[in-house]
Amino acid sequence: MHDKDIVELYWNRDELAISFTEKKYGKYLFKISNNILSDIEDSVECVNDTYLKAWNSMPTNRPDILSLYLGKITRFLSIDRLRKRKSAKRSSSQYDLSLSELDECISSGNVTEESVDKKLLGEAISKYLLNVSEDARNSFIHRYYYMDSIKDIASYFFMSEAKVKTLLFRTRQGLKEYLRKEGFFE
Amino acid sequence: MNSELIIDALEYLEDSLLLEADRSRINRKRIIYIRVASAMAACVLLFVIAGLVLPGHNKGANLMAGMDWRLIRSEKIIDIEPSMEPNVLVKTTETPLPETVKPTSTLASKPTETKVPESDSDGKKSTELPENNANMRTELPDKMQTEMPAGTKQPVYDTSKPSDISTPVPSLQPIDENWTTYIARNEIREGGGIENYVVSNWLTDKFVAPPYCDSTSTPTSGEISGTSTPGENLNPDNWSYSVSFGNYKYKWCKKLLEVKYIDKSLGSIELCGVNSYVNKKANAVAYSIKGVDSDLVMAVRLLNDSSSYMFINSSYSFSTFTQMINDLNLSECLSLDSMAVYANGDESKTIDSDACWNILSKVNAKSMQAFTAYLEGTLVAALNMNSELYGCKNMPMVIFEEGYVIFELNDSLYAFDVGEDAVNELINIY
Repeated sequence: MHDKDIVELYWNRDELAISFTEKKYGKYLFKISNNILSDIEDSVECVNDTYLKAWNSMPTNRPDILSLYLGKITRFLSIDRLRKRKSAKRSSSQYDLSLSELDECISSGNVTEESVDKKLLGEAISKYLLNVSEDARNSFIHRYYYMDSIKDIASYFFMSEAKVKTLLFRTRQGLKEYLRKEGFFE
Repeated sequence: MNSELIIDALEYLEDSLLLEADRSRINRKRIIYIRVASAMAACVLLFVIAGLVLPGHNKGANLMAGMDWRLIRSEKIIDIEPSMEPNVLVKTTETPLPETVKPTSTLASKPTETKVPESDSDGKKSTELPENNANMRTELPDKMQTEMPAGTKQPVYDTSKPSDISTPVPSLQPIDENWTTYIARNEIREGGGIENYVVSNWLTDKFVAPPYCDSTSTPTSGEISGTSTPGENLNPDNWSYSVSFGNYKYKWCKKLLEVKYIDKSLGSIELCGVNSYVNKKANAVAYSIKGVDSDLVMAVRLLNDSSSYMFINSSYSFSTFTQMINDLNLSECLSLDSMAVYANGDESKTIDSDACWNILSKVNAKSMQAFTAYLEGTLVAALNMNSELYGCKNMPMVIFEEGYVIFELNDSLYAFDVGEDAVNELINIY
């Protein structure tokens, strides 16, 4: 079933929308969630929450690319859940590893969440990524958006893990410099 | 906190970037797939060439073995018993048939082989039945049908005794009682060659002869629930009747397969038979509905996990088929509602179902034994492989989770075990 048809089912308040979504994107969403949470039960719950959120948000929203739309919801919910969980205990998920790697991007600056518009920052990162190589861009997105492991990324793009690490390191360094130039932090 | 800020900000990345990253991953996977498929094609070519150049030697197989390719499951294919033929005659009396009239044993297609009685003393051919055959049902092909001799009684069916049926029906019991699947069986009527169909409830594991449906014959026992009552002409427009005989209930679809489906875009399709295939080892039942030219659909149900697959002839889209099924009111008999469509019910995998069908229909044509081998695996994808390198265009291929692929090349089918890892890579494409 095409995305448009599934979205139409949501708009028609047809519960089949959920089952079709699950069939088509269940694994995809689970992977995103599990990359972040490293917990099957939590991931399953997050994916289910995604369906609920999708159900509640359509209508009003009519996403063109359902996978991205659902993926964003899952990612958001998973990160949210992880942060709540982390207050109790730090885990070793790909999320945490990604986080520690990204520290170097803006660790020199003294920035708080409130002082930076996340949307502007996101747009700046998009601009930066558009100017790096395709491999670097895709590896970065898979690593820090989808939270895929280095090993997975290496297999996706026929690269060695060392090369992926190097690529990510250079991209992070470039991003740090770019964000500094753009005035996001000193 | 700072790095979390980046993580949060990535939420606002442009969709095009995310999409590109996703597609890029998938495209790379496709390259893997092409490589695997190309390697397989090359192996097949080597195999064929070796077989041609070195006849009498098993060089081809040695080549394959040397490359760690294994022709899979051949022993299983051989081992699997031929599927049962549900289209068997129902002998309603124990009176043996005369040698001159030989019943057909397969009703999926019309009988084609019937012995003509030897010339009688007058030198004339005769197809008349002996008078003592009044209680016997005979099956004659259309051309052999002649008028019943005077005094010949209408056949009487002792339907109260289903155990009289001489040919056993499959004893396979579905695990799901709600699964009302039926076996259709066509019969050639005496004196007219009109086809009737009896659809027997699979659950009861018994066949009974159907009541005739014209004014000269009535059910001998039981009752018909529907618009007609015993003794009346059955309304041909209302083709479905429930028939009860003793403790058994049967669904009788008089015109189940006589109905013509007219579609402007497709022309006329006449359904002319339903076959079911049973394989106990595979614990599966496969149904194929035959059209005039070719099979329309094959539905497969695995009994052990209640999953079902349906494969549709490439000539028809799924929506067309669904429409057709609905129009013909066949959905009940086919239990369509309980069937998942295509691979594991995932319609996202339907894009290349044609390829899948092409393979399966050929397998079916060759032997259901081979087909049942498929049922031991979990179908994950079916697609057309294109490889410029090896000149493969639209080469149908089906991929199974268990690590093997089956594809068609030069009108031959090949099955290879490529390992689960390779297949897992391929699965990600979908």
